[in-house]
Amino acid sequence: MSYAVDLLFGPQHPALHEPERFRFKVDGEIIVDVDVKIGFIHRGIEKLAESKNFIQNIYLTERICGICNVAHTLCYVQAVEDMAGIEVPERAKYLRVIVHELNRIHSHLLILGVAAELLGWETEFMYLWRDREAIMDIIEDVTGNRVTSAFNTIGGVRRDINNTQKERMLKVLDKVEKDTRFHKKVLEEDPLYRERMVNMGVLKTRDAIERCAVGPTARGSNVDYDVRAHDPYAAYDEIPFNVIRYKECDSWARMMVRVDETLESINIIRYALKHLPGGEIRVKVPPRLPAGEGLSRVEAPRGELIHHVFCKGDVKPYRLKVRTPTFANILAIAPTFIGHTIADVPAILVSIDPCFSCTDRLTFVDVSSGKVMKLSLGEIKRMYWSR
Amino acid sequence: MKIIPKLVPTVVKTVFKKPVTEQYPYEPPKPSPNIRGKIVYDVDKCVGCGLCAIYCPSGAIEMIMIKEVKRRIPIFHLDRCMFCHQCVEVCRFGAITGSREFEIAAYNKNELKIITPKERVKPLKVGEKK
Amino acid sequence: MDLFKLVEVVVFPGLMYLVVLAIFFEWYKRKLVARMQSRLGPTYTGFRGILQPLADFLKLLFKEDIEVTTGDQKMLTLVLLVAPTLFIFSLFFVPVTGYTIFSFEGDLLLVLFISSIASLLLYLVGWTFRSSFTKAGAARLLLQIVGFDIAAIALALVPAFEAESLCIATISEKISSAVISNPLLLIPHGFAFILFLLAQQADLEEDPFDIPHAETELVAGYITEISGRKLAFLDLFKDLQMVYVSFFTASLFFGVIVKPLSAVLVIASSVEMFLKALLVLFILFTIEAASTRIRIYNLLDAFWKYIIPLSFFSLSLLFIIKALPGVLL
Repeated sequence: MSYAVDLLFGPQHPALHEPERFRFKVDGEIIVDVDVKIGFIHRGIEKLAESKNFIQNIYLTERICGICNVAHTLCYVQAVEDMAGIEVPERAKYLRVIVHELNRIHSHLLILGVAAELLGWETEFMYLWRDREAIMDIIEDVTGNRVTSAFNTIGGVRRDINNTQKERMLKVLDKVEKDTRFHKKVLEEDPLYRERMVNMGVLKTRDAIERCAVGPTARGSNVDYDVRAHDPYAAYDEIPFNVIRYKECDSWARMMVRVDETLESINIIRYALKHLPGGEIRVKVPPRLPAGEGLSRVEAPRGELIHHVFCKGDVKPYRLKVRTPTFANILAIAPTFIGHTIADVPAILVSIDPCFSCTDRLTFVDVSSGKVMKLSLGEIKRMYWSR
Repeated sequence: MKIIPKLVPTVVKTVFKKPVTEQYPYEPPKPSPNIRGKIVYDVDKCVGCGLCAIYCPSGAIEMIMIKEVKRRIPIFHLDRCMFCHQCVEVCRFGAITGSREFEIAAYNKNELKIITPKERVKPLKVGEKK
Repeated sequence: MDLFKLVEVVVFPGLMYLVVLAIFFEWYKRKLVARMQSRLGPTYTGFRGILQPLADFLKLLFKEDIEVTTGDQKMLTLVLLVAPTLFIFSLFFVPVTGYTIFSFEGDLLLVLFISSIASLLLYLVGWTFRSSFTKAGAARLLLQIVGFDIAAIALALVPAFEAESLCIATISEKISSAVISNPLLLIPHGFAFILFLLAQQADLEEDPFDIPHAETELVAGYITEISGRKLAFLDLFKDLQMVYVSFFTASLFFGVIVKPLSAVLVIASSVEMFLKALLVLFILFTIEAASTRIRIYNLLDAFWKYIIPLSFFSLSLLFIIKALPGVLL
């Protein structure tokens, strides 16, 4: 007979930086079952996108996720370009790669810091975020803002890089590489960090493929899957790089994938800066686009990101569908909580780099009957707005 | 010796180094020269086409009619502005330009509006070359 | 009781001096850990923010005291009044200024006993509430006390046997000469010092042993439901614990070099003890800054499998070294 009690993590909890609820069934300190409930910060962005024109939607999709904003805009503009058959200049493709990789470095260093903080290692958190500041400065220098870069646009990019920026960037990248190597050594060898992360939340290769894990979560489980390598977009088909994989399949491996990807990203940026072609950075695009649909896949810092745009020959998209990486990863990782203690929950949860506000969708499905519940505007008014 | 945390030497060394914190309001900020800041509006170059208002993603630009001179001019609500500079990009006459100013916090929303006084708005001459 | 003793208890090496020290050590901790993390730490109040802990304490005193109806508030008030007193009382036996206010043969055991009681009182703080976070925090705290306390008591006996006394004042006087006269003693002495520091780190609930109030798991552990004045006294309690741990460790393992025979020498010896306490805290905070939190199972593993056997090993090593000349001769 088990004495399992419910322990609620969230919607408000110090280990969660965004509201989401996890109901753990706990026997003593051991987790025996987990139930994930998403949907606390549904923002209706897909619906809102239908009322805005294509250019405005760039800035809207940028705000789906602040941290991987470049991935979102890149994915959206690529989907629109795919739909309208727009060819992007070579230089713009390289510039997109550079900013995309800068964004990846900043995102990976951020989550490594957050992971350290969740394990009570404030010093490593401070060091990682201190070293990340250099990357933020060059993002600000190149795009015009620290976080929301507003760099990609339909038909190219909005800003060019000059030689002084290039040199400054190379100098900063050298420093960041040195710092990242130091952090790699620390995270690889620190006994207490290893104690907390190794063998936590083991997601076997087979399970990772079955449950459709994407991004560093999949690559930490030794799945050879990277959109940049297997379905190249922008200029990735011309840039050589390695797909990082780890065989350990645990939380530690997932975090180490991020460390190594940071180093790999630095090499990609160096290559792109060296082989930056000349020419235009954008082509003119009319506001009204022809009818059709476009799909784009991008390797966001958290994993594979999909934007699907459908247009009926208007200045606005008829439908915009987004699938974010956390949506795939959260379901893949949920069963791995079972068998661990409450103290391991932050260590496992942080290893997928959860971004819940990207994830939230509003479709309720009754699992037992398979019935999809939908509410019309009239029903919502009747049920919730009546006073 | 394997159980000693790897950060111990770095931690001791960092005590004797200068902290990296920037005490922002007391120290002057060091933003990049390329940042997107507050927008600057030049009424003399504007023709009142309203493209900026159409493309503004956050609806921060409102077109108003000035009856005395029979033309439209924009009002910028900086409290809604998110500094994407799409209006700067879309303006064909160079009437809106960017600046580096970013310290625009205010107690009142009305202080954040860029309203051009009526006297400054001149009637538009049709056919005039810009 | 004569007036001089009363002044001693209330003002100089006693109550007021200890509270001032507690507030200073809180500042020292915040500033030092901030510098270790390449931050600035408190800067606004007073010279380099030295008054910040006092400002926080006063601010908490004036705040509304939100009483959780499911908790036993009378019990909590009693605990929070008694707990800081216990540390102040036990510090009367520790040579904070080089000499002690009260002293008798065997006060080491009394001090160890009182400090264990004070740690146990913290458990009652968590247990008075019906919240799951405080309950879990309190349960973890109890497990932690079971882990470190035995090791701490066994290790405190090492300097006692070296100096052949159970009086803290006598130990701190004799320890340096005892170790110098027999350099072989340095081995169990250093060994015991490192292990004792770890045990005290667990007592202070700093990283890697801040398990009872692990933020990302249990919000604030047993402190979760406390606010206002009660939180102020709990903070004061933790600061006094810091003073107790640093001076107790310093007097047991470092000894006193300057003997407080006259008024000038009292100042010199209190400065000496103060610097030693700062050194002890520096080591503790370095460990705190450089390590992650471990799990409660790891803590029990570490203490019951390694530290407690090692502490008894160092104790027996000490006996062998002490007995060695007698056997050889």
